[in-house]
Amino acid sequence: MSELEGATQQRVWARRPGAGRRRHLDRGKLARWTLSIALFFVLWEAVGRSGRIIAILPASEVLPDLAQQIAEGEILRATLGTLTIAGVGFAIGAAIGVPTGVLLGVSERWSSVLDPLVNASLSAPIAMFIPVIAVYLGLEFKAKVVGVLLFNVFVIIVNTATGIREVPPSVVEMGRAFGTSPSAMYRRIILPWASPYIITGLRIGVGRSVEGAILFDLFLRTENLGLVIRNAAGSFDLSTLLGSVFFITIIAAGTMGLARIVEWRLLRWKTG
Amino acid sequence: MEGAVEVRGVSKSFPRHRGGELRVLNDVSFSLDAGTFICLVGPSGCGKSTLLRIIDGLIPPDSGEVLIGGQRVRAPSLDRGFVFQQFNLLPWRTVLGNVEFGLENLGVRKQERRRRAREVIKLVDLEGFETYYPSQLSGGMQQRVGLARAIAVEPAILLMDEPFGSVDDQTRMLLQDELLKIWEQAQKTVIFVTHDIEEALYLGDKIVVMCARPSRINRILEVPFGRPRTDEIRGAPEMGHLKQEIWEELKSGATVEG
Amino acid sequence: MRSETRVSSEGDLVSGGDQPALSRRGTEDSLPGWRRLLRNKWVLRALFYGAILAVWQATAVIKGEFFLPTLPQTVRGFGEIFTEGYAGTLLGTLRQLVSGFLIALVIAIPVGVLMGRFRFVEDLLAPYVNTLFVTPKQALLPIIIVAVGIGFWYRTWVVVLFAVFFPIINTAAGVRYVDTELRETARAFGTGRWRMFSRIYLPASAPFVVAGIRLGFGMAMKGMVIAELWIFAGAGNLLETFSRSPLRLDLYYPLVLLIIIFAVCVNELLKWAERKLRPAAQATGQV
Repeated sequence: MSELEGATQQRVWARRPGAGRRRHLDRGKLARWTLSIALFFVLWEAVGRSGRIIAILPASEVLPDLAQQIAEGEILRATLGTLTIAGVGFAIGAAIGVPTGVLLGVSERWSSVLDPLVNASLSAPIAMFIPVIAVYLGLEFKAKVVGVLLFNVFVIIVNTATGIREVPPSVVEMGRAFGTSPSAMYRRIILPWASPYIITGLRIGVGRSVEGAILFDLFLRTENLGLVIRNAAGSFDLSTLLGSVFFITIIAAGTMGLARIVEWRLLRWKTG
Repeated sequence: MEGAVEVRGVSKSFPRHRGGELRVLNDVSFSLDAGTFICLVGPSGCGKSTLLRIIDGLIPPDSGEVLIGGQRVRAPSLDRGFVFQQFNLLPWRTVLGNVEFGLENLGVRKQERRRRAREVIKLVDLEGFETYYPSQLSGGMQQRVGLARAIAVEPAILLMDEPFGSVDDQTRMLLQDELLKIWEQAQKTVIFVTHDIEEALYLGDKIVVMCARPSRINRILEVPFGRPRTDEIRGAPEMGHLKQEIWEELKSGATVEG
Repeated sequence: MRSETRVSSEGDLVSGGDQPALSRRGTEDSLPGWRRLLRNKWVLRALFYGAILAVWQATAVIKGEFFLPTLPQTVRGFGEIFTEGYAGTLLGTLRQLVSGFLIALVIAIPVGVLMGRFRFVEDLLAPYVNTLFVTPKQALLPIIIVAVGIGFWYRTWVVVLFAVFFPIINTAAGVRYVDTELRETARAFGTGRWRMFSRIYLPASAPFVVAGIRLGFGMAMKGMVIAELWIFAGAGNLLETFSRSPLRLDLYYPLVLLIIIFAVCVNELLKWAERKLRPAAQATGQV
């Protein structure tokens, strides 16, 4: 999706800002979404009750069990654990990825050298490194953070680099004509101009970090949400299984949704 | 003298894509007194924009030098204000923020900056639009912001690169009048690049007619119209004669080199 | 009226051709030969990656083969993969990957078309698509296992699950694009249904669809690896095996390299196809 995001970003600066912040929600859209979600639960209940697909139990069984699980607190602690790993991995990824992306965007030399590497990393499944990460770094927190880092850093780099490359030469020339020092050039012109792309890259990075964290919590030392999944899988307690999966889905979607909202807020201000 | 410009023997070549060089400017020389409004006119590719940038210090010449107020130009400086054809405003800054841009580089403190910026905004007739963003403004207004930005740093010289090229005809004429009005108050040196002969005649004290590659100055002529310039001049017969004259000159001198 | 006095405007030659704004390249071109060599991108790449290989080899020698295999060992490992019969496993994985991916496309593209074309379909399905898209699909593995066991269909369905989203989203975007830009024009000319489809929808949305396929394939591979790691099957299992006792990193790295080469080849192929299909040739060249 990152390319498509990029394509619409090109129009970000050209967009005419509404008067102030456009806070109006499209009522129609909200209604349709609510309908859709309600439909989901209805379907779930229906399929569950019919017993057609063995794996599906009705919502009315799963959800109360899930609620109890949440009340017991264990699953929340697990979520926190996974999100911590994701967060740390993301922070490091951002700290490395954005400057690297700037470097690639600015310097043709570095770009030509590192682009093949970055592109290859994006095409190939990072998951294949899971076994070897275990060999070098063990199974604990450190290894997982590095794994999450591998997941998110390349997306951040690519989006940042694209943003930097999009800065028009003429605006840079303007900066020079007005005697802008190199550091001020970055602070006041280049980075702000590239910021929509950078922020989008960071948002995608959040998603990848959460994904990665769950993956490594599953395949390295199984703990946190990974443990939740494994337990549920092993126990054949379908209700727990479905409940856990549902819960994780909501958490992940929620995190991503939150990230999108943050992105939206930040970019609103940037585009006035 | 502070705003006096001297161009001595400036040459510039650029590498071509397929190898070899394209000689854009060839031993160009002329001099300007301070306070003159001079227009560089010529066909596209004759290097007038390049020359303007060399004068500003954005591009180094291959040979020759530019002296402003007796000092050699080595790099861009806030002694010179530049107005671009594509405006080059920062979209996330308001009009006020954009106009303040050069002042920030000067290290002017915030209060003083605001004050000077507001003053200049008033000068270009944008009072009331301080908090607007560029995307909310028309082309003509955006260019006025560009102009304000350049003037705000109180440069000795104003360099303008086809500044009205991106706006429609009517707006252009209005902007020309505004520019003259502003100029007549401060009487700075202005070097104005354009391919529009009438614009050059309407605005300038002198016109530098340039020819295409290799670039050289064909001649420098004095514009006979008095100041302040008024709209009637546009329709005056003399304007027509001069336009024709210069056009003929450019036509015959313009060799299209591949 | 003023046009006769205007000289034709094609834009003056400004600052030295179209160099990227921020490239540190100056406009000085009379450089000594060796400096110019350092500008050549293949030379730079050779130097950089050569240096990496050199560091690899040095580390391998110093730290021993349980840390890193030496380069010759890695090369030998390549050969061993094929002679020791691992190729069969790899092919098995590949077959499942391709079949799963094709099924994913068969599902995704029509869904994408419907979503792009019909507003109500989009509104209906969008919450699910978007939610599942951002969900870590590995969390869903256990459900799939319970539902279909761990045979052929397991891996296939996992691949479908991972791969299906990009084609849906991108196809929908492509169709939506055609709808907004071209459809009205075509209808104004009274274009019939079939021609609408073949002459307009198909070629115009093609680059989007191919982009979706490309991104989807990357996800398919990811899904396959994860699926296999979970149940210790196929290529994923090999990756796992080579990383445990006995440690055969000299087989692990060649395998990883193979996967990377495969992924990059498919990706580049599809990128090329995308570029060819995009008349404006505005392929960003990045992801």
